Amino acid sequence: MAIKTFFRVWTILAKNNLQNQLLSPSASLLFVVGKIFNFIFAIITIYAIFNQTSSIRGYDLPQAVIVVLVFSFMDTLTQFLFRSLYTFRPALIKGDFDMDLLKPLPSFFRPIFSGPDFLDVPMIIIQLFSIFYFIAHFSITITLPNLLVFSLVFVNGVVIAFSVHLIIAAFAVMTSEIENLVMIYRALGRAAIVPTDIYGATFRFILSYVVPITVIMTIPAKALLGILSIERIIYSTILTLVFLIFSLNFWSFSLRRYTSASS
Amino acid sequence: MVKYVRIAINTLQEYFVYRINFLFWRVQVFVTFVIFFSLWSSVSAGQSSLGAYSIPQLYSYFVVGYVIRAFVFTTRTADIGGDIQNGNLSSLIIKPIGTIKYYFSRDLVDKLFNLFFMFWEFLLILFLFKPVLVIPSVLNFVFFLLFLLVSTITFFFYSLIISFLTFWSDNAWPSRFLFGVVFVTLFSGQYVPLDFLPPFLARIIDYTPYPYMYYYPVRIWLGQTSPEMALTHLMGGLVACLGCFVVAQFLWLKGKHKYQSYGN
Repeated sequence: MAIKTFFRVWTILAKNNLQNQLLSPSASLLFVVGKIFNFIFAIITIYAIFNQTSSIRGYDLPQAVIVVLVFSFMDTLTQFLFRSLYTFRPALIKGDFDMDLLKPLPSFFRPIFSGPDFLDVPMIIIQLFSIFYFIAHFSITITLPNLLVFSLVFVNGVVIAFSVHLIIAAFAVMTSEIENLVMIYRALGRAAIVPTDIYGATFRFILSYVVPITVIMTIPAKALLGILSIERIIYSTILTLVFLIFSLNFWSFSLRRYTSASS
Repeated sequence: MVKYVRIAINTLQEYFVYRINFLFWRVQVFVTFVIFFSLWSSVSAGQSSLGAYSIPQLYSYFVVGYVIRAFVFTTRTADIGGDIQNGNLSSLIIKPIGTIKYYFSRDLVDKLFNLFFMFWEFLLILFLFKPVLVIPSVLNFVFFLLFLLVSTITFFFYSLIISFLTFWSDNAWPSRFLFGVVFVTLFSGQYVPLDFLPPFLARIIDYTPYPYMYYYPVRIWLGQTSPEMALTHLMGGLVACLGCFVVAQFLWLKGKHKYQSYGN
């Protein structure tokens, strides 16, 4: 029942958000064009790299292209779902968040789920199409087990992205700082334009355990390619649970310290 | 002059009010550097060169680029778009100060503040990654400094242009996102040296002001251009600078008439 209400409210807010974005079509167009440029350039970057070298630490061109496509897709999907975090700061500073806390919804609904970004939808479609296209282009065989593993680690990736966003929201409640934290997360996310296991040990550790970009972006790609070991599937699942529990607790902790920044 | 110094001091004080904000901003800039440096280090591992770049040149491309980014791309002119959008510009244009000079003062402090932090981050980069860097010849260094000055001014006017577009739209961020973030980062060569791109694409980008803000200054530092070519590129940079100045002036004059001061 609670989940049904959750989805009903989400749908209403999503519609409102879509209507808002349709009010300024030229602005929306500029955003979509920018996102398309980013996406195309990410693929060009991979091709540019492979123009200079035949492999990157054992990864060949088809694998690298699938990695960059899944990276782009996961990045866009999580932005679509959790975009409202980017606009949470004004609600905190004005004190509007007080009103949200009174509503019969999960307290993290407002900062995380209240504003899906429909400008990401064209990108999601383009990226899905690109994944199918390049899989066919490179004659990559996707088996049913690969697809099942991909589904599992894909869900893990989305849940862990939610956890990271929630941790940022919790931090924002305590410090009212969001934008640059999100930017740090997104900057780290860019590392997944290539498989994160090509990086040095320290950086790899950060991407695997501190801000688990690896779980969100690289592991789903490797699952799709059928090069994911069973250990990595277990690691992805355990880390997702740890992050989910930690983020929910940290969120509760921050709410207990919330003093209403404005009136 | 005194009033602009006062504006600069006030801007500096703002940074001390939002200390965490600024700290995280610098962390974000540093992380972005680490990612691209690590990426290209991994790509070049076990190789003596990559394309036209020796490995020290490739490392220098991103390390020197870090300095250029702090000089050229730090700006407060992005605030103008927001000020137009929410009506704050009204209180500025009725004051006995030059609006552009006002933003220039803030811009200068922003650069100095970022450069101060960049200096320590640069030392940290040298300590952490111990990159072997290319040291330029005296002539190239002079060209590099001149280019840096031209690029900084070019980006100032370019960023003004983007902000002034808000006079004709109801939202400052979309044009800033496309022209000020996406185009600048992708086409200036910050992520990928432009000569790694497909030739047709590199040629198209060459006709834009973006390579003059980052790519050509780095190449001059790396000694990858002859003095004659460096001079040609510098001239190209000056033309781009002049073009941005003229367009910015034009949009400012037109925009002021269009300005309706809605908002709060």
